[in-house]
Amino acid sequence: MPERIPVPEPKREKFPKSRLLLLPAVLVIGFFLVLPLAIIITYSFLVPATFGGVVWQFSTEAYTQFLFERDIFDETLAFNAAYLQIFLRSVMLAVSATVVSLIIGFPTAYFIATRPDRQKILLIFLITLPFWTNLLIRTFCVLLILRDDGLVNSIAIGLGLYSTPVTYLYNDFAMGAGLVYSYLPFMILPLYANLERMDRRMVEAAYDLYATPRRVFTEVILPHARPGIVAGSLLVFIPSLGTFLVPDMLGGGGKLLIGNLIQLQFGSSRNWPFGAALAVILLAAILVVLMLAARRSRVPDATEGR
Amino acid sequence: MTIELKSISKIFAGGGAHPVLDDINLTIKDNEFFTLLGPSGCGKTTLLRLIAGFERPTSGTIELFGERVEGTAPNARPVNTVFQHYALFPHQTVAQNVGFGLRMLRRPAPEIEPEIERMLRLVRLEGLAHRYPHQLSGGQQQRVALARALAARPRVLLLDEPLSALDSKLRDEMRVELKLLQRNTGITFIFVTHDQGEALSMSDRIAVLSEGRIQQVGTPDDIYERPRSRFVAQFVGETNVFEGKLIRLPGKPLEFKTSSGALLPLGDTPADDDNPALAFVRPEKLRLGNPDDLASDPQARLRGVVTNKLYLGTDTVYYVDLDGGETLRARIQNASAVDNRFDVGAAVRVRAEEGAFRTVGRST
Repeated sequence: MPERIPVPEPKREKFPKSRLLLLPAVLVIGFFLVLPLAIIITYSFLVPATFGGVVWQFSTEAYTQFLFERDIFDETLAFNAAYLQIFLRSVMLAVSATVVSLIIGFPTAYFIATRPDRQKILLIFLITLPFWTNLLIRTFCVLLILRDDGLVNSIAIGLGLYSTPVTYLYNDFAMGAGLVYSYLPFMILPLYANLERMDRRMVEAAYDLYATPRRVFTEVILPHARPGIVAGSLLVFIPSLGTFLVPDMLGGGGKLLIGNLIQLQFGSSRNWPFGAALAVILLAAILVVLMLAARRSRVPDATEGR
Repeated sequence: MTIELKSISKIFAGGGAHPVLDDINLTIKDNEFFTLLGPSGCGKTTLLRLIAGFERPTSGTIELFGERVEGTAPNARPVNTVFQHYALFPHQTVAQNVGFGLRMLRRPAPEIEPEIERMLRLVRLEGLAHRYPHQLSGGQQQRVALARALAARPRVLLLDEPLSALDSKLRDEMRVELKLLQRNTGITFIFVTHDQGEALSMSDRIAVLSEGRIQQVGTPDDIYERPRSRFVAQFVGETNVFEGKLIRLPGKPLEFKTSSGALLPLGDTPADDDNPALAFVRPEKLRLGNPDDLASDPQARLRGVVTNKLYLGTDTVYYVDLDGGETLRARIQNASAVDNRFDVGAAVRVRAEEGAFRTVGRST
């Protein structure tokens, strides 16, 4: 009978060493995401101190303040839509910026994705070029271009399109333009990544099978691009929703957005708990959008269609 | 006539002056299984794309059923394509893929449903209508692509190397299925391949392409037995090629003298003005024999030594170094277990069947 060679039992460690590889990431996320988030949530349930900071005393006042106004004399609550309006205005502006970015970004991304390889690299490089400059400076440049004696007005008047300068600045249009300008690359890049991977033969197959160009787009290109559209839209929508730079500089500070409101609470208003509560509300809203997006971008999986 | 190509040339932008297709003239008949055969880069796929409408010719005309179509979009041609890597729509089920063409033609839904079922039965995928392409094997995807292209009842079906991604066993099965399908549907098939085996086994006629030019058009038998150029002789099937010149002696049959001095009996009679400089013979048309037994046989004047042999089961390929210096391959069928088996180093005489040696000009 052949001798049996003992096979060593594989060691079953309770905590495998390979998990240590996660440690740096866990530390970074813990320190820079989870901890600040915990502080924000905690602060949102505290009472503001007179000169900024917080008093360690539990209160839901900050959240109440978002929707209601407390009467100075008898402390009764009355509904106050002012903050809700700011919030909705921010959402509307972010949605508009996202839609416009998509309308501009999709053809751009498709164009780049269908160029020869060498041109692609150059064009993508040009798309990312603005990131080499500070956002503040870029936003300031938009201001220079749009102001009364700026580039747009000078050219239009020079061409004789109109004679007195049109006011482009300090309104919703200027803010939208600023947002689209700042975040358009975030729309183009994921769309490009998606469209670049698309098999061009698929488009040809649809065209070959009697589809009109419009139906090639709706039946083949659009379904394929959906994950890219969702990703790009999120990347534009989320920073647009929280922006405070653009409304400050291009909106003229006349109409507050949620970003400014939060900034204000930690600055001159010295109401940290209210600022924290607003941040939490914004975060919750974004999480809802993200969850909806995750559903929409889901690809049919193996369990479906059986 | 289904398709008439007249002096088609195609030069791609950025490709310099080098044409991908150069003065192609071709007529494809109704209900024909027509194959474009050639090595990669010979322009065969470009020619197919011209017929489908994905590309426009730089010059020349394309007629489909008597109508010129060079400027007609792919969606307005009664021609459908099976793509090399199938190009199925990944977000659509098998049934939706197959019904795509009919949907685009705006056929009413009650008409489309039975047609999808009929097509899936035809390609034997009945149970898989609700699967997605990524849930299917390569062979199944291939059949979906076929059903999708056939569902809209094209008058011409273009197939771009549809079998190249399949394993060899499946490929053999699909050859039979494709041929049957073509015969049963009566649709003109234009099949692109670099595989001469596929071309010979399925086609009614073959056009051999090389470097953008048509080398020869003919039946598989024509192409294999009577190639008209060195390229065709060497690309289709295995060949032994000899350089040399024609010997014409009055009162004697034509002979070919190879550069090493061996005399080959010729099977064809070259035209007078054509002075062939190459002779060739297919390895399976040769027999090997004991030098002494065949000494008096006029068809067995080549002598040599076996330098290598490859046993392939059905056949054995012998490499014979001729006395003049040329190396020759002979493919001997192992019809019985006692067939002459020569070992490496054995002296042999090579016997060619009458008419086995043929000639082509050097230039072509």
